[in-house]
Amino acid sequence: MSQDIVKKISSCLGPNIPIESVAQGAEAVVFSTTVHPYHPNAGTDKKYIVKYRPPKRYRHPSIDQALTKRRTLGESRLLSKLYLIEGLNVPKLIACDPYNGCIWLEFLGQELPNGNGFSNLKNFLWMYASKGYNPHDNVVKETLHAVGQQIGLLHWNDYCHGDLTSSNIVLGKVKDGWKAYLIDFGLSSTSNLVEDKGVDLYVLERAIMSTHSSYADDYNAWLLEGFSQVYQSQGSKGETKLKEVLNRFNEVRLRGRKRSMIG
Amino acid sequence: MLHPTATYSLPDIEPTRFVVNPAEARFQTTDGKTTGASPHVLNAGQVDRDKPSEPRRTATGEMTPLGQLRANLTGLQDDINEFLTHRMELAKGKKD
Amino acid sequence: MVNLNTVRPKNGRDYYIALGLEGSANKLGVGVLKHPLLPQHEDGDLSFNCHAEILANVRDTYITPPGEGFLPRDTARHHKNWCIRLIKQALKEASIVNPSLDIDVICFTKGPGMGAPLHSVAIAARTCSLLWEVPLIGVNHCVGHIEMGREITKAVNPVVLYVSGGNTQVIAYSEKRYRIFGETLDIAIGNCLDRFARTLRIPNAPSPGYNIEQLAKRCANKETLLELPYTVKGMDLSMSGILAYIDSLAKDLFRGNKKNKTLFDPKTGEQKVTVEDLCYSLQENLFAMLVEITERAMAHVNSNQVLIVGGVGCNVRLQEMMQMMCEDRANGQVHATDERFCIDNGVMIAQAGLLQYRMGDVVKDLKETVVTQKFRTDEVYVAWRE
Repeated sequence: MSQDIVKKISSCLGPNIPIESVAQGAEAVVFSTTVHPYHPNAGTDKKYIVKYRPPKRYRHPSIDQALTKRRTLGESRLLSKLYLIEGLNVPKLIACDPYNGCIWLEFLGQELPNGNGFSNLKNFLWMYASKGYNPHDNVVKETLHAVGQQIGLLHWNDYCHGDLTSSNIVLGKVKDGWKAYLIDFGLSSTSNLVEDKGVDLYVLERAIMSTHSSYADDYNAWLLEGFSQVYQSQGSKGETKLKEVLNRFNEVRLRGRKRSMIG
Repeated sequence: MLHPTATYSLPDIEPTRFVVNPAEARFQTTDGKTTGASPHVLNAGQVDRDKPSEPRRTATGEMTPLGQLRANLTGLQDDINEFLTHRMELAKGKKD
Repeated sequence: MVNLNTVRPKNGRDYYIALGLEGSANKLGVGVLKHPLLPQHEDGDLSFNCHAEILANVRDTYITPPGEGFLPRDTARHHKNWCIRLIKQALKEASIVNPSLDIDVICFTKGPGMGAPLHSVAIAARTCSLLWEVPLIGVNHCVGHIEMGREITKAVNPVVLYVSGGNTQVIAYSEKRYRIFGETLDIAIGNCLDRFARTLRIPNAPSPGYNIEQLAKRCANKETLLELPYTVKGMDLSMSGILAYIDSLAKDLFRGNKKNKTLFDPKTGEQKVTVEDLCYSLQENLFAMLVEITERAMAHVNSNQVLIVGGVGCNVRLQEMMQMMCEDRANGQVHATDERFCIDNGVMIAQAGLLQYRMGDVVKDLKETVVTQKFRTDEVYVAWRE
């Protein structure tokens, strides 16, 4: 991670908030900290995520500032709305600084056993594909059902994730399994278009096929089962809508998500 | 020398045959009536630099065989194009 | 590992010669390309370094008057009447005396592109092939750009930004295909710039995009940017909205519509914005969007190299912005070619075609040489890469 970026975010946050870098995406960098941004008695036993959109020097400052503010605000607003949806698991929004491009979120997930890394879906599936584990274990099936249900809930409420990959799904250990959370809503939007939902599903299917190819067929089937359950529990209206989404999903598959070009 | 011909056939009409009449002017040039620049572009001020090259001539001023062939085809193409345009107008007329 | 010498050169030569014919838009290009037969190509992944020698690269562009775009009929007519001249010129420059003996393969653009112009060139290709008894190969125009870019810049595995009048795609190679990661949802960036140039009625020579670039450079007020719609949607982008808006601004400017507060001071009626300002703002916005989607693709595939191909790749400002983004990503690099290869040309078709040919691809029946207006980059099986 560039020292420049660390310096910038540190100067925004001030000296009392130590940060550790976690990941760097195309648009934002993610840090973790144990200091709460505004609660005086929070203590330091909990972790929080700071998602920072650094300025990009290649673009004109007025575009850069406008984008940073718009996207930070947009993501925050979306997250706060999603948090209120019953049954949908997303990180809790703690603070938002749109001018500096900073969002504070609750820290989700944990370390997987045996050094298998952070508990996102990607690492989880890799763990179960490794020695000593059974990739078709019932835990995997149920976890993927749970993930599918989360996506189903998201779509049923007319939202689209925009970047559904196995790195953007985090798992939290619960009594007899794993709870699935969706994270990173930087590319998300409200949408009631079947096209957007179909594309969401397609992006995830392709992501699973490319990173977990050996078991992708089963995994994608289980994801779809969980997804469908949400719609099916909504009576005949749900059944109709489910058919529309799945049909469009098939079309997007055939089309390869991308349209034919001219010239 | 043999001249090129063309035949237009469709199930519902008599076939139409196009032949070359070397004496007629349109079979003696490579600058066809229907294969010039579009009027639209010329009206916008275009200077046409895309004309086909003149047919090659021998020292005596006669067209070379290939030159003649090109000129013949130009006239034939004009006839075909006019015929097809007419057919299109008929079809449009039928639709209206 | 790949054997690029699967098919040997004709007549026991130790080099291949390909003739490339390109005419998918308003540029007609003819190129003659030579690849030496090298042992290291028998078992490697070196298709980005063919030691290609360009024996001829000629081009003629069909240019319309200011305010006019190029239409299929006249473009096809241009190609039809210029192709023999250019082919003859190219053969002469390449010192090809006997095409039947000297040329291994004739490569032509199969698509994508405008139907009638593509057709004109395909007919020329077929005719030469039958006349000289030389095999034919149909090439995807986009793959031509990519392969030429790789060969010229020697970039091994960059993310490719392909930007031209007809295409806007972000491409990365994976498992025998050039996969499209991001693209335009409506019009291509070159098309957007060309149409704005028409609204401004600036000359189309040497190219409308070049003239917009020069106007943008002359903008006196680069600190203030006009606010334009910024329409990146995930990995894709859309440009019809920004075009519609800037077109309306330009029209208001020409008409002196004082009600437009962006352009005219509401109190004094003084003009605040010039044509140069419009061009500058348009470029800054469009290019920022392109750089953003390229960066997303780079993050996805973990790459820090970018190759820009296609006519709009000639734009210096775009190259600058891309370079800045790359530097901020683990010291990455931008690769670009100059106008000989950025802009549509015949050599790029020969390069991609020759790679296809060397791997055993060839037209077996003339029916296969039908051109196609729609031809996605990922439809091509990239046999010549690992």
